[in-house]
Amino acid sequence: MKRILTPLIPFLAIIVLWTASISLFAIPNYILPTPRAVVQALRIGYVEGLYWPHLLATLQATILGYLIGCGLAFVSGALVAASKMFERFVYPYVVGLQSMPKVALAPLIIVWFGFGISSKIVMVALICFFPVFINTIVGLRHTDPNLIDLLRVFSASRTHVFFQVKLPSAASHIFAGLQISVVLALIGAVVSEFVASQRGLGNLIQASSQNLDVAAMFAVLFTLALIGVLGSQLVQFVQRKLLFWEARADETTTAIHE
Amino acid sequence: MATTTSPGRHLLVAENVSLVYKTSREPIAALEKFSVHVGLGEFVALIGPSGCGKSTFLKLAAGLLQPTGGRMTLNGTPIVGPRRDVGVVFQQPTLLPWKTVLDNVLVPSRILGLDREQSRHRALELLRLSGLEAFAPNYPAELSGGMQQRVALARCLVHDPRVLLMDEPFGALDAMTREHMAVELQRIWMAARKSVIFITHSIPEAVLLSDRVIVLSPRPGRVIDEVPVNLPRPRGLHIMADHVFGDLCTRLRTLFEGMIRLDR
Repeated sequence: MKRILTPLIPFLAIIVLWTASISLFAIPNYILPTPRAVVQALRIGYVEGLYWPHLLATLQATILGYLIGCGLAFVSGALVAASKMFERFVYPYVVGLQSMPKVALAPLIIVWFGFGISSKIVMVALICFFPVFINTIVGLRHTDPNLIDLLRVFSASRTHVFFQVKLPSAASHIFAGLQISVVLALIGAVVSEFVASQRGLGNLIQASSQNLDVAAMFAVLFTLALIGVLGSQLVQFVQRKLLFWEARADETTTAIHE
Repeated sequence: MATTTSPGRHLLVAENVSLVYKTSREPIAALEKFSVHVGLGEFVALIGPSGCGKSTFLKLAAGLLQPTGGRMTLNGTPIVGPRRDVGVVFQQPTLLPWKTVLDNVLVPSRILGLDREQSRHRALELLRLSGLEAFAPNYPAELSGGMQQRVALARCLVHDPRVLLMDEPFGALDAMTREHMAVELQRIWMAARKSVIFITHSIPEAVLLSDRVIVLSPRPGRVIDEVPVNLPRPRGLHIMADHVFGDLCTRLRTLFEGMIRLDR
């Protein structure tokens, strides 16, 4: 209960400040809408159903792109960690690709993959790739060499070592990458919707901007923030369930400190 | 111990073993013309200054490294790769944090594909011997450092290996736990009679536990002396007050000091 209530306090404070400053400085509603106007926009959007197709389009692109991007990143990260040869083969190109601002690639991706959802998925996958890729490599390479020796003494196969020792050891690093990529995925989806799209929350923001409908823009921004928070909570939840031993270690540490 | 050190019964033999590591700058010789033999059921301690190649020797014995010269045999056959009949303990417990204590002890038997029910039985028996039976379903993070190292000890015995290779197994423990663990190791060893190679930095620990103490030179490691320890077993901690014990420690310490002077 406390975990839900505590973040609500700053939220209420912001609403109060927000309302007060509008009336205090007489800010016109085409610059800053009142909270009431934003709630109204949200109502129109979700109760009357105007936003749903946009929300679903963005969610679909984000989730699919995220899964594809993170999946590819994990596999290639594991290959790089396993083979020096493969590392020399792909590493410089991955870093090169990463140094390019993904936003600058968006128009090109639209040209190649069209205005539909595929260009959004590609963009999201590209932007999600790097954090998971790097963290997978670092995580797998950080495995305690003694643990690996211990298994090698008994002629354990590479597959056995990978799944029994390396992967669980690397898991918290990999999850750190997955966590970063959740937020990046949303950015990727919205940016490519800005460039060209028929649907999506990014599309909605742009349309609202043209109509100077600031309240609607706020409504969409809140939606995006909420998706981001829920998405990263979900990843954290999965992490806690899968990597149960880390939570346990934390508990023990706090128990000792107390 | 005369019977166990007779030439015909050597279990682990290293003859003129050399090992040169290739590094980015210049090759480093970790071991040079290194010869050691360990009898069946014999407890041998290896002491030497840090970086003298003690751990390298252990890796050779485990088959994790191949010597660049000389030869190593276990039970008469050359060690060409990792083998099943050794057990290893490191300075750190190196337990898998995502497995329970029992499953950690079972790691070797799972890899070797030993009978599950039998191994489980044996693992529980070993945990009982180490006084950890009640902790079988716990996770390593819930145990103290000394308890974790006892789990590692149980793990190295679960597949009933012929040789135990121990690389400063008590090095990370506090002095009190350390002495307690040494006595416990002796008890387990006397019951199971494995051949043990025990690397340590502690001269009293080496004398307390072993049948023979081998002293290594600084890198590249060579054997500079072997000191037999003919104290009766079981040896309790009180034996440390014995004058024979004291003399042995002094002798070993003198060897060490001579080495340091040579180094200068």
